[in-house]
Amino acid sequence: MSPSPIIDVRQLSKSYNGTPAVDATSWSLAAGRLMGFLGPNGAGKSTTIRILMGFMRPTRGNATVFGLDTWHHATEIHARVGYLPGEVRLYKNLTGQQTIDFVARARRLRDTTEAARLADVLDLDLTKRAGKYSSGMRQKLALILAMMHQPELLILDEPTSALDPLMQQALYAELRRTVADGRTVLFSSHTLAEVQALCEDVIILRQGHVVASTTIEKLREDAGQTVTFALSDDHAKPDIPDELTITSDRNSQLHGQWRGNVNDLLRWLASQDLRDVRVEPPNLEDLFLAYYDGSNDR
Amino acid sequence: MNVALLRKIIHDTRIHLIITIFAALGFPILFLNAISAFDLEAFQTIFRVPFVSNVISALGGFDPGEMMSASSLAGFVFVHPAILVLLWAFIIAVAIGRICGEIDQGTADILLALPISRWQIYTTTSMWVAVCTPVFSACLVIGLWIAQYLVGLEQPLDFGKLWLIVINQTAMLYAVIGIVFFASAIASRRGVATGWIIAVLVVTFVINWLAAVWPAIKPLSYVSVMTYFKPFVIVRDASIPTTDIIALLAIAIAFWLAGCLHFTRRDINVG
Repeated sequence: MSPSPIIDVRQLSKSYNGTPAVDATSWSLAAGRLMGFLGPNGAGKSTTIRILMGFMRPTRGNATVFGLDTWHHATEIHARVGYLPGEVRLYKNLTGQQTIDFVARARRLRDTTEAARLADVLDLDLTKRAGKYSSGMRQKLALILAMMHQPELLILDEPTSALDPLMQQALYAELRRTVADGRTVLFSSHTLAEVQALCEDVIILRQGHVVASTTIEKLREDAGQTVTFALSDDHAKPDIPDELTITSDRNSQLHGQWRGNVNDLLRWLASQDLRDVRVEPPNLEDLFLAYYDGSNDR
Repeated sequence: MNVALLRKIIHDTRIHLIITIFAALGFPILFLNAISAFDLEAFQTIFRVPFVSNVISALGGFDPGEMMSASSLAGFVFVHPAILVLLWAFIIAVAIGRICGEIDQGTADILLALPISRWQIYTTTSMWVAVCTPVFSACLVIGLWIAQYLVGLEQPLDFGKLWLIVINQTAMLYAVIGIVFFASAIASRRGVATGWIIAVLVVTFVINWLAAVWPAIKPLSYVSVMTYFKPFVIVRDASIPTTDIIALLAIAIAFWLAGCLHFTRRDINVG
């Protein structure tokens, strides 16, 4: 029998004034996994996370964390969860250290060495008032607050949005360490590349629906390559192979998705008279289109 | 109650608290100093003017003109608009700042992610305000006690009666606390909540005053918390207006509970 999931979402829906933000989504997250929660702005990621944190009550369906209902047992869940909000706002009148002390007292956490270590790793000055912090510094402090009690589950809503590339790498290392310790991470992002680089599993949301729930490995296989090319003769009509789905044709530049063997793609491109060509990993939009196409096909 | 949260609230409100305490101590000294320039008969003459008599009755529940004493004059300290604004401002600042202010400024996401229930947030904040308000009222009496020695009054003040006013005033402030916490619990914007509260308190004040000068308004005066605050009646009768205090506490509990129920059940969406 498989162990019960850390997060279990069933037919979860949330509407604002009748407009659905999350629509009958079902998914789960197993213990010890690092899962990407991927989707563009407005996909329903933050709404789902706010329901998981017990800030909002679902319109329909339910969500459990550690087997506890997120609305009725929010306080018990919070004791075991670290949360980074999507938009970090801190108490401007408190210094970084005072904020940490307040959170430590509220969590009845006597040992704050982990907070000090994280401040060192993230290179954050804790003596400044939060009101004087830049957005990146606020993000770092909020990450420390989320991680300082070494929670069983970390829920991070776009944690790298204000971090520079060096700090992003430091955070990735911390998250890998967290998962290696047997803890669980839900990592929300709208950047496919970072989810691919960091996560093992991924849930893709779009317009409140789960578009895909898969492993990163499978995602890579399914996603294929994004191909952009321009023919030397603007009026030529190339014979497009079945593996290539053209998604746009603008200013004689064709843009599409290749789902097949990469060598076959290179051979086909070599047979064309090209003025320009680019082959890249897919961006989020291409990936959604690929998934939508896939689901339509099926 | 949550100790960590209480410490933070005390830290956040300490300057406002100190200013309010000093103002509550200092105002009676300034007030008694100002009125000591006149004798009691001069006040009796002024209070016989119908308009003044009505205003005084509206503020204190009874026209003290007939039984003018140093203690009844001192009762003005408790109903003076400057003092009411001072005490109401503290209540509004703490309640609005801690409950809907957290949502408005986005810090609710940090606070609510802690293992502190919404019930604890609401009760801890309420408890702090509920402890502070009788202290402020007591400061008014202490200020009068100091003023008595500094100013030198014709008659000594009857502090037995003045302490009874503190009980009535605390009940009145608890009713205001209940209303303010209710507004704070249902709003998500500080400006909106503060605007509504100020409107309600001003209307309360105006209704109470209009009822004294315009008999047709009298039935409406029962919705005003000021109707149940009667410092001059306390000075006259030397007894606590029990019915009024029960009415004030009933208002306090009804609004406070309604706010609490709403706050613990509402969606919290910052930004």
